[in-house]
Amino acid sequence: MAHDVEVLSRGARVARALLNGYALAIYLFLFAPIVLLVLFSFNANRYGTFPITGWTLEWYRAAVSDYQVHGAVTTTLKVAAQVTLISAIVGTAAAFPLVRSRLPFREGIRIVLILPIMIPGLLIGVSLLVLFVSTFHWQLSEETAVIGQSVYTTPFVILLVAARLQGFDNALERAAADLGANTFQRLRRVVLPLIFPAILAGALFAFTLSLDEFIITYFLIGANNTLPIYIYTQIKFGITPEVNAVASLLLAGSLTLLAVAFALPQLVRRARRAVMRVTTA
Amino acid sequence: MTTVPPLADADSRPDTAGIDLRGVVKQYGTQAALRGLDLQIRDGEFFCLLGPSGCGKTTTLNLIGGFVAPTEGEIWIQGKRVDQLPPHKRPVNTVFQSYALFPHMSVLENVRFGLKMDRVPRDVSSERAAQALGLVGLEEFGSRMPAQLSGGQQQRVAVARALVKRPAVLLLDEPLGALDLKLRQRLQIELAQIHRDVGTTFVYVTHDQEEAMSMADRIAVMNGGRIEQLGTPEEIYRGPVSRFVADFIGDSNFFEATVEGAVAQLPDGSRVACAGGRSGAATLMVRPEAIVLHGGDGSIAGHVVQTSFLGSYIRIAVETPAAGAPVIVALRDGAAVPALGEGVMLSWTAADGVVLEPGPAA
Amino acid sequence: MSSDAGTATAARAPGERLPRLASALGSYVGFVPAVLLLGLCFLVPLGIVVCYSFWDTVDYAVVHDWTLGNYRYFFSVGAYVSTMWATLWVAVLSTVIAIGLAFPFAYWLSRYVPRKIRTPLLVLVIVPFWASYLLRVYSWLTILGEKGVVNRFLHWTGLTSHPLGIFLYDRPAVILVLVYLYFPFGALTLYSSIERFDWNQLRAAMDLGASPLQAILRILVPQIRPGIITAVIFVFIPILGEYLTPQIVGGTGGVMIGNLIVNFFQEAEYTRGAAISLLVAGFIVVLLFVFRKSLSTKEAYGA
Repeated sequence: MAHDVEVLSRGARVARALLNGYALAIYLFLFAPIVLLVLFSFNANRYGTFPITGWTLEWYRAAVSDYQVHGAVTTTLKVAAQVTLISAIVGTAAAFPLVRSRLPFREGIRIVLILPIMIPGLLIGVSLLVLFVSTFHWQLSEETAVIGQSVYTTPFVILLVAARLQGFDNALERAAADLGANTFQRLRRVVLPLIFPAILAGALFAFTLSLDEFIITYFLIGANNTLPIYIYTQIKFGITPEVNAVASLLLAGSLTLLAVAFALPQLVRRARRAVMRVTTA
Repeated sequence: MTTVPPLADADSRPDTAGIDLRGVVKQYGTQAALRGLDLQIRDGEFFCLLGPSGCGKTTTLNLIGGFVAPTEGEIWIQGKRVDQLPPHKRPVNTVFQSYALFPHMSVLENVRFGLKMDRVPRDVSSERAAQALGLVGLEEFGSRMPAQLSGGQQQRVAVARALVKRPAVLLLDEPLGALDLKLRQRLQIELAQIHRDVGTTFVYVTHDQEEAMSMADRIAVMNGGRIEQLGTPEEIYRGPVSRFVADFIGDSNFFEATVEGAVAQLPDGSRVACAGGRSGAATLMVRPEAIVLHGGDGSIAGHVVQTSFLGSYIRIAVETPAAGAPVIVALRDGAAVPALGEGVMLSWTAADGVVLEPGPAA
Repeated sequence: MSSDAGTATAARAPGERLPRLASALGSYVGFVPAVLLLGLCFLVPLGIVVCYSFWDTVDYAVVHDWTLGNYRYFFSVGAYVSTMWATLWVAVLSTVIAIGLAFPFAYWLSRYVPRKIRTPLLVLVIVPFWASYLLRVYSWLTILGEKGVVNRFLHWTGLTSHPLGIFLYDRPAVILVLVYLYFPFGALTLYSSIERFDWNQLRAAMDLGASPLQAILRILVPQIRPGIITAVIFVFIPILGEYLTPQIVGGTGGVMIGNLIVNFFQEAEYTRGAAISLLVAGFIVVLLFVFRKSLSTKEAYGA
C-alpha cells in the first residue's frame, strides 16, 4: 500500500523532512569529491584545485600524449584482459559443482571460495609476494600481477554465476534430456545460453575490478605500471591537473563498464530476440 | 446466520459513547479516497465496513486508528476529538490484516507489549496477558514464537494483543483474509463470541459480504469513497437502495422496467408485480430465491437453459425475452425441477420486486 | 524433434539413472581450476606466511628456525604496539560512524521513498563504490589539501589568512575518508535487511502505545540485528588492512598497521612483516568465527 507510511503528528512530519534533507546531504557527501575531481580536470589553473580560472582541455591533451600514460594504459588493459579471461573460466567452472553437487563441507568450501573478497587485499598481496619472490625467486612481472588479481576477482564471478544457476529451472534440463540431449548437448544448448548473461556480467565485473585494483598490483607488478599505480606515483608529488585528467578518464572507463554490466542482461535478451526474429522470418 | 439482534432505537441521536465521523474528506494528491463521510458507530456494536477494494473502507479504518490524517472533517471517539492525535494516544487498537506480530517476541511478550508501553507493572501485565490469551483459547501457547503458530492461531494472538489494552474500539482490517474458507467460518463464530464477551465496539473491514452478513450488527456498504447504504444485514439484503448494493450483497436478477404504481412493465411487454416507490424508467431487482415457478397473475415466460445441483439448493437459469441475461432462480432442494429446455413461468410477490434507479441492463 | 528420438529416451528417467559415482566425480571436475588458483595462489601463500612469521631472518635470508622472535620484536617496540591500538581505534570509530550514518539513510530509503525510485537511488549510492578505490581516496586531497576546497573557502570568507594543514595528514582525515569509502557498504547491507521489514509491525507497536522512537528501537532494530552485525563486520575487516588511505591523507600522524606491513615487506624483512600480517589475519578469523551465526544466511526467526 502506497500510503502506509503517512504519519500524523507534526513531530513525525518534521522527522520526515529532516530525513529527506539528511539523505540529500549524504548524496552530496558521496558525490562531491568525485565531481570536484572531474571539474578540476577541466580547470585552466595548474594547481588542480580552486579557483576556477577558465575551462580547458589542455590537461587531457597532455595526458593522452604522455608516453608514461600510454604505457600504463597498455599494461592495464593487458592485465585486465588476462584477469577477465581467467576469472570467467575458473569462476564459471567452479559455480556448477558449488550449486549442483552434494558437497561434503559445502559451507567450508563456500567460505574458502569467498574468503579472498572478505580479507583485506593487502594480505593477498603480501602472501603472494612471499610466495613468488622469497620462495620461488621469480621476477615480478605483469603475469604475477595477473595471478594476484585473479585470486581476488574470481570469487565475484563465482558468486554471480552461482546465483544465476541457483535460480535455474532444473525442469528445463530434464526436458532437454527427455528430448534426447546428452550431458554435453544440454550444457551447450540449454544451460550455457541461459546463464550466459551472468557469465558476461561477471567477466565485465572482473574487468572493472582489475582496472581499478591497487594494493595487490602494487606488490606484485614489479617495475611495470598500471594506471592506478601510475596515478599513485604521481600524487606523491601533490595534485596536478594532468593527474586529475588521467583520473577522470579512468573513472569514465570504469563507470561505463559498470553501466554496461548492469544493462547487459537486458541487451543480451534483446539481441537474442532480434536474432530470433531474423532467423524465423 | 447467528447475528446478534440489532441495537433497538435506530432513530436515537448519535451516541457520545461511540465513534462519530463528521464530514470527513481524505484526499491523496488530487485523488479523493473519501468524499465527505458522516458516520456514527454506536458503543458496543459490531460494525462492518463493506465494499470492493478502493472503496475507502480501509482509509476509514486508518482514519479512526490514527494512521492517516483527514484532509477535512472531524473524528470523535467517546466524546473526545481525536483526529489530530497519533495512534498511540487514541483509545483504539487494531488487528492488522497481516497480523503484524513481532517475530522476535514470544506470544506472551507480544500480548504484553502494549501494557509494557503503558508501564503497567509486570505482575499485572502478565495476568492480563494470560487472561487475554484465555479469551482467544491460547492460554497454553504463551511461550511459543509467532512463527511456530498456524495462521488461525496467529490471528487469535493478534486479537488478544489488541484486546489486552481494553480499547474503547477494536479495529479489524480484513483479519480473516489470509485464511482458508473452513477456518474463516470457524473464526467468524469465535470473533462474534469474543465480541459478546468483551462488549467492546468492533469496527470490521471486509470485502466479503458473507463475512459481514454473518457477524455484523450493522453494515455500511461503501463505494467510491462514500457510504452507499447503512443498515442491518437484513435491511440491506431485502431493501438495497442501489443496483451496486444489490449486486454486491447476494445474487440478484435485474430487469429494465417502466414502473407505474405496483406494476412494472418489462421489455417484452409482460407486466409483473413490484414494490413501487418510484415511477417511470427503473431497474427491477429480484432475488433468485424469491422467484417461484408457478404461472399466474404477473408472470414472465421462458425456458430452462441450465440446471445445477448445488447441495442446499438447485439453481436454474431461465432464458426469457423479459431480461437481457438469463434469470437465475434458486429452488429449495426437494422442489420439482424442470427439465432442460422446458418452458416455465416465473413470478414473485410485490414486496420482492425491488425498484431501483434505471441503469444499464446487465 | 522426431518423435522416435523422444520415445527412445523417455524410457530412462533423464539424468537420474546415470551411474552415481561417475556423475559425482564428473560434477566435481569444475572445481579443479578453482582449487589450482585459490589453493595454490591463496591458501598456500597464506600458509607460507604463517610459517614465515615463526621463522628467523639472518642477514636478509630466511632460515627455517622456529622462533617467536618476530612477534616478540613487534610487541617490544612501543611505536608498533601503539600503531596497532590506533588502528583498532580508527577501525572501530570509522565503522561506528559509517554504520551510524547508514542507518537513518537506509531507514529513509526503505520507508519514505516510493518503491519505483528506490532502486535508482540505491544504485546511486553504490556507483561511487565502484569508482576506483584509489581515486576516491585521492579525490579528498582536492578538498582537504593545503590548496583544497576547504582552505580556499575559509580564505575566501576571511576566516583564515593562511592555509591550514589541520584538515589533512592526521587521524581525523583518515577517519573521514574511511567513512566515505565504506558508507555505501553499510547502507547497502542495512537497506537489504530493513527492506524486508513489515512496516505494519511499526504501526502495530504505535497502535499498542509505543512512541515512534520506542517502536524503532524495540521492534525494528532487534529484528535487523543480523544485518547490522554483517554491516559492521564487512566495514570493520577491510579497514583493519587499510594502506592507501593513511598513506595518502594520513601523513605521519595517521599511520595504521597496514603501512607497517608494507614498510617491512618493502625493506625485505619478510618474517617480521609476516608476523604482523598474521596478527591482522588472526584477528579477522577470530571475528568471523565469533559472528559466524549472524553471517550465515538462515532466517533468524524461521518458521
